[in-house]
Amino acid sequence: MSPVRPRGVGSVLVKALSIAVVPLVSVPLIYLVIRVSEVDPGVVLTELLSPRTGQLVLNTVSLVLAVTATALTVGILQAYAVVRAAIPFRRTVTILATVPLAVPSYVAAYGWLGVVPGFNGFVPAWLVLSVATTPLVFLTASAALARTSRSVDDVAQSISASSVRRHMLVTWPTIRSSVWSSGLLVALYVIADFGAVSLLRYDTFTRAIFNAYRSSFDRSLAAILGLVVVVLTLVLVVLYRRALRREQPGSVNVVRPNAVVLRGGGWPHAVVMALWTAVGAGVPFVSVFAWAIAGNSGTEFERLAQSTLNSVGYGLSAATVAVALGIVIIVASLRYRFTPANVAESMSWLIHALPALVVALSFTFIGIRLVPDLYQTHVFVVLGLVVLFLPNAISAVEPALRAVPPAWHELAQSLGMRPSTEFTRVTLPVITPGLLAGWALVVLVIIRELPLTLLLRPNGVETLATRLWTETGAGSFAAAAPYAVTLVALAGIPAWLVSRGLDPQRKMVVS
Amino acid sequence: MTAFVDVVNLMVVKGGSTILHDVSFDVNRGEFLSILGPSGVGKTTLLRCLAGFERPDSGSITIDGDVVSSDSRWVQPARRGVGIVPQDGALFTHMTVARNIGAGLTDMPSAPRAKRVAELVSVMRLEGFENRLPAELSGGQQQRVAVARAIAPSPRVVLLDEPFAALDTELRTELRADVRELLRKESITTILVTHDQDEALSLSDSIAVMRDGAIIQTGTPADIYARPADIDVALFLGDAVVLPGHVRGGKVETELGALTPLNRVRDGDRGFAAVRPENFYLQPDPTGQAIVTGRQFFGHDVLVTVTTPERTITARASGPLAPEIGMKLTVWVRGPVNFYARPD
Repeated sequence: MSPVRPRGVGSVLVKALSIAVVPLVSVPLIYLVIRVSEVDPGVVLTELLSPRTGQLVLNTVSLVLAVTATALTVGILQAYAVVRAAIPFRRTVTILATVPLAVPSYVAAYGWLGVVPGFNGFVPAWLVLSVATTPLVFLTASAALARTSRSVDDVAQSISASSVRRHMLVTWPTIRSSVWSSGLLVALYVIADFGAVSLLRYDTFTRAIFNAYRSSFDRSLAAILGLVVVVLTLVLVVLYRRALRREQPGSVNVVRPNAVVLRGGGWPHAVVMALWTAVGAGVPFVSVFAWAIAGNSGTEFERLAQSTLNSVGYGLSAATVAVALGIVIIVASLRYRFTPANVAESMSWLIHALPALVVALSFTFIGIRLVPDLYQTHVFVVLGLVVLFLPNAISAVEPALRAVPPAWHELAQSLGMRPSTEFTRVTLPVITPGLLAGWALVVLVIIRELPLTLLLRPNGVETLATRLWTETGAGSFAAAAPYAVTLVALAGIPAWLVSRGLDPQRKMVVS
Repeated sequence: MTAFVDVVNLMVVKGGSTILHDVSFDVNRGEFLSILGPSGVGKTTLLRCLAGFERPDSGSITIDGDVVSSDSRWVQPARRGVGIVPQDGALFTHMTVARNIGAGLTDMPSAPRAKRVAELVSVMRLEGFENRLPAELSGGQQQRVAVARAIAPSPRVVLLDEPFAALDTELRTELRADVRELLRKESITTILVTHDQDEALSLSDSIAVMRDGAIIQTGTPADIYARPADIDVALFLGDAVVLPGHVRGGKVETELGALTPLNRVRDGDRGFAAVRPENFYLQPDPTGQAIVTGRQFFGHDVLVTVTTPERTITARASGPLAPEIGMKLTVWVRGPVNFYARPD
């Protein structure tokens, strides 16, 4: 016996569209491989074994390790203090811990550079990226720690008088899988980051790829380095998947354990945590606004308006297409159990994990070789953004679509509704609020995007992010300030507010 | 003999409301005490005070001569020699059955530890499951592991917080019997918190009935069942029909006749008599004023719902002789009953 699947025009359309998504999300990766395979293997080998590549590996790996270790340490301590311990101003401290989500890493880099001239190299990159990624750990670890069951904590207390052993019995097993998964997420973030490291002049792969792309006519080197990053990322993605699989479903309703009493009534913890945010997010924040007030932003108003319009335009159009495709893929996978839809989803996740710069790079290759008419048009930029942010759209619409119980479809059929009627009369009214919220969030996230827009935009077209990047790179902090303020106000703060209201587990996808 | 566990005047106040009010009781060495009461009366708080997870606002707790909690002394949970079995078992999900059971034995050298674990595995009928993770066990098996883990270090006292509540009837009976057996064999003093009167009555050496943060009656199961301290305890301990009545000439006069009081009464008292379902005698009588309106068959006996002119009562009748629905009856009460005077 097999369950009867609904048929109709809708189902054909849904299936056809989800088949069409598969090449869209897989071509960039395939094309990068083709591009590298065209290069003389001897050249590839020389490049791979060159001391410069070795230095890049060393730079990237040391930054990844340092940032991951810092973000894990700080994020877990924050989560433990907020969830398990008694500290003053718990709500304020919680909000402070997530504030950095409102500041894209390249904006933070700009802010620091505006206050500390010559803020370049490893330590600055480490600081900016650590602050930016700590909320990812904080949110996952808080969610995990909130599942600590009082009775397990009780039993541990009755078994052992040593707090270290109790942490080994209770705390560590609770957060173990979230430590792995958020740690790998942070590592992926650092590998992918382009804006901050390029402004802070620290040579990681992404910065080197961009320079290689810009500085020579032969883009083979960029492609080779891109492929190295792809391999590095794939390793992390595989590890991440394995970590997620081990994640245990939490108990449904647990009684919260007693709050742990910290030394000094928790004040030292609260103060240190507030300081971390004050320095990490506060300095760039204040710097951005100080430059905006000090600078003569009035003269630039027209350019600012134009780039805001471009940013918002890309955000709206790419988010709309991505959400529409996201619905198609989820419907095809949930309702029709259509395999190509699952393939499309997995592929798009893979693309999402890759540095946007590398995806952008392969898009330029495709653009130049296969679709020169589309290359450097708005449509091409939107296409790239759709591919990049499809997973955000999928994870934003999936909960809304899952809110419709499968039994309703059978019920609707038994009432004589056709699938299309059922969709408009039953499914749509239920999912609309969730869809709109998800769509809005995707718009805001896309507005912050830098590397792909930077590489693919038509000549002369500027967005907020690209203007900020260019002006900062040239050292014109006053000129860059209005763009930074607009970006934070337009995309950062709203995205942070919306994402704070969402499931913490999902936020890691969004950021 | 001095008490092994001695609780004196325990007070717990949380957020302005009194959770425990002047709670005092004691338990002898090797005794099984049940603290019985509906949910929300402070039973779990009391247990948590005993274990050391909560610090009472006043009062003292002494275990085997050591003051573990008082205004001036505080012993942390791990140093009290107390084992606990929470309602949900609270197994360490990342440890196998054997490691869970051995979790409290880390100070023991590995050979005797393995021996002790093996012993408990066998008593708790967990052979073959030693290397399973908790997620791979049934609810009953998980509770078995939790009990074994609490008992493994041979604590001075074991605290059971409704550990059988989440299991279905058959499993529960079997597990209760095994646990009781194990506790008796190891002669461990035990305090069980439960809202299940059958459980308390069948397992315990003594029972403390709790209500609104206070202990209102202590005694052996037989005592408590036969002579509940007040009408609410009577109703809580088992089904009972409450009949209004007054005392005249040493008898309780009710709508079902003059009944013999079990407890001491004064002439002129007004109040209520509590009659257990098994104390009714249903006499078939075509001219009777009572009529059978419901019947629940349980095999060994039958619960019969009878409507009298005054009220509806539930009576227990033995299976084959139980009256049918629609039959007319005269209702009698046999044996003495408890009478509770209304304070006025």
